[in-house]
Amino acid sequence: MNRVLGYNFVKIVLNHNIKVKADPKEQDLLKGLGVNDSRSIELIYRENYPVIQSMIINNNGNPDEARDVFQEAMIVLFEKSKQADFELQCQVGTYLFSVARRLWLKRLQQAGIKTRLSEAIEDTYPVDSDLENHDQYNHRVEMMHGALEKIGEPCRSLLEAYYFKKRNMQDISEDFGYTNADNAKNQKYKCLNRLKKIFFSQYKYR
Amino acid sequence: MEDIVLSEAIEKYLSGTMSETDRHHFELMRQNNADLDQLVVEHLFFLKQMDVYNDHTRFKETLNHIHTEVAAETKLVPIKQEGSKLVQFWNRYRRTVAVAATIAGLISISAAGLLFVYKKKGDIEYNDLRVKVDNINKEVKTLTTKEKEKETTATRFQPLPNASFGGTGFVIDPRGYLVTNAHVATKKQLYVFNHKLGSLRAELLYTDKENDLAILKITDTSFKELKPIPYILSKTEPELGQTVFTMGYPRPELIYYEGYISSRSANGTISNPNIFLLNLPVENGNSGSPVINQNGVITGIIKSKEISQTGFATAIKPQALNALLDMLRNDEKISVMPAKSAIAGLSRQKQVKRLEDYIFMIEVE
Repeated sequence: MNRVLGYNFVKIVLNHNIKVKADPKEQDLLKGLGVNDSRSIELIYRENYPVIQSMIINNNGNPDEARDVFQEAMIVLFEKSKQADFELQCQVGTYLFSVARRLWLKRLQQAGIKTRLSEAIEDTYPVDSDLENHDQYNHRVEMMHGALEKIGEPCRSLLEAYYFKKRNMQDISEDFGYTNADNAKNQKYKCLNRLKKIFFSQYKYR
Repeated sequence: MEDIVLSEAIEKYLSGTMSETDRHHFELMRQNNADLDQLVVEHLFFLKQMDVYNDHTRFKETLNHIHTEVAAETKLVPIKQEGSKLVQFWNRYRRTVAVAATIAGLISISAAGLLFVYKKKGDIEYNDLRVKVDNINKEVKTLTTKEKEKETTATRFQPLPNASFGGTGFVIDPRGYLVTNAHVATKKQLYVFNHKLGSLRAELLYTDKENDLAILKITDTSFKELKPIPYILSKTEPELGQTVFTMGYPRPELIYYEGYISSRSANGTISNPNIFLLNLPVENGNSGSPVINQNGVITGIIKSKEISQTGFATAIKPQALNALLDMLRNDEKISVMPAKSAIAGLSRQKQVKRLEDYIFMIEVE
């Protein structure tokens, strides 16, 4: 990547009052986000992506990186919106911006680029604990992904059909060519056990 | 019970599709059999992880789908030039000392450009940003020549628009004049608080945005003149390695912090010659706190904390405050700071005790 050596300016000012909570309209959008409603997600996306893209491109990033960082910030918000006691204490834009800024800074640091981001203390919404949760969440998602990759076919498709697509055993046994639903059930049981075993071995290792 | 039967029973139980009697029976078994209970807990956890994974994957699919649409409809790309212009500009001038002030101007302008984009929302016209950045070169030229002229005029000091934050401030005249950061005192009417005097009405007199300083005056009728200020303002440059302490109100109680001066300047971060770097674990709300050394001399005013490296903070040199006070003395009857510190050489506990009354929490709302 073509980065400038030495100190880079990462100076970002946010003109949102960070103490303003998300208004009812935004709360509705967040509810939609939490249930993967594409209309709500699209509205949030359109409203907030351009700003975050310009922040990243102006600070040594490219559009692909901007997309990755923005989407990760959206995922952080998604996780947060699923919490039982969820209530966003600032506007959606402020939150996404604060998260994206931190994520981008972390990436620059990981790339070995010296950055010194200094700002008025109150400028952005505090997101540290959310980002810690996010790391944990990411780790588990990756573990599950890795475990699913490892169990192979037809196990993976079988489990996905039953647990993710919520299809019934009878249909599954026909689709997968089992002689009856009991056979399919038996197979599903074995596959799940394998998946569990792989997942928990990594989990305990950590 | 066979394993597969057990597994099926657990899933039925967890999904709530078990019959009432079976459920009752199952719960009794759970109570009496720790192994079974453990299996249920584990299985529930695992199913939840699978759900999380599934939700995550589907959410990512939605995001990617939307991104393709949004990126296709709006032209999202063309601001790279501005970024590199900034960088080129910086590279060209980084070794020039005189550039410091112009860079400060440059940053605030480019930040304003970003703000403009942000405020507008929705369909963004990056051209606006480009125009701003193009203008910077012109403005930078005029800035240098106007520098001197600007110093002497009062145009630098303007009340800021509304916002609602909080911070710390300290007394610079026992008759109720306080100093804090300009980014803290964003309203004309505000309240200040400390343990001894409680909450008092105060008014914003001046802000020096460039150095992030603001002067307030306590206007509350219940306020009585304090005893003479026990500390003095440093007239020399910060001394590298000097241990310092600060006190402030990150929440409604006074908190003490200790650290040292880690750099005489902070030019890598902020190109203002009046800013320097400390290793001091300050928190939100410490903006405006005095940085004090063992001799009872104020060596800085906390401005911000470093986000990328924990434990670092920036502070404003007292010279900037001195200059501001000198200027204000034309209009306001702010008395001259004492020449000798009354707490030099005292034990830290005694120093802190003497200082407590002079440090206030600044409440904007």
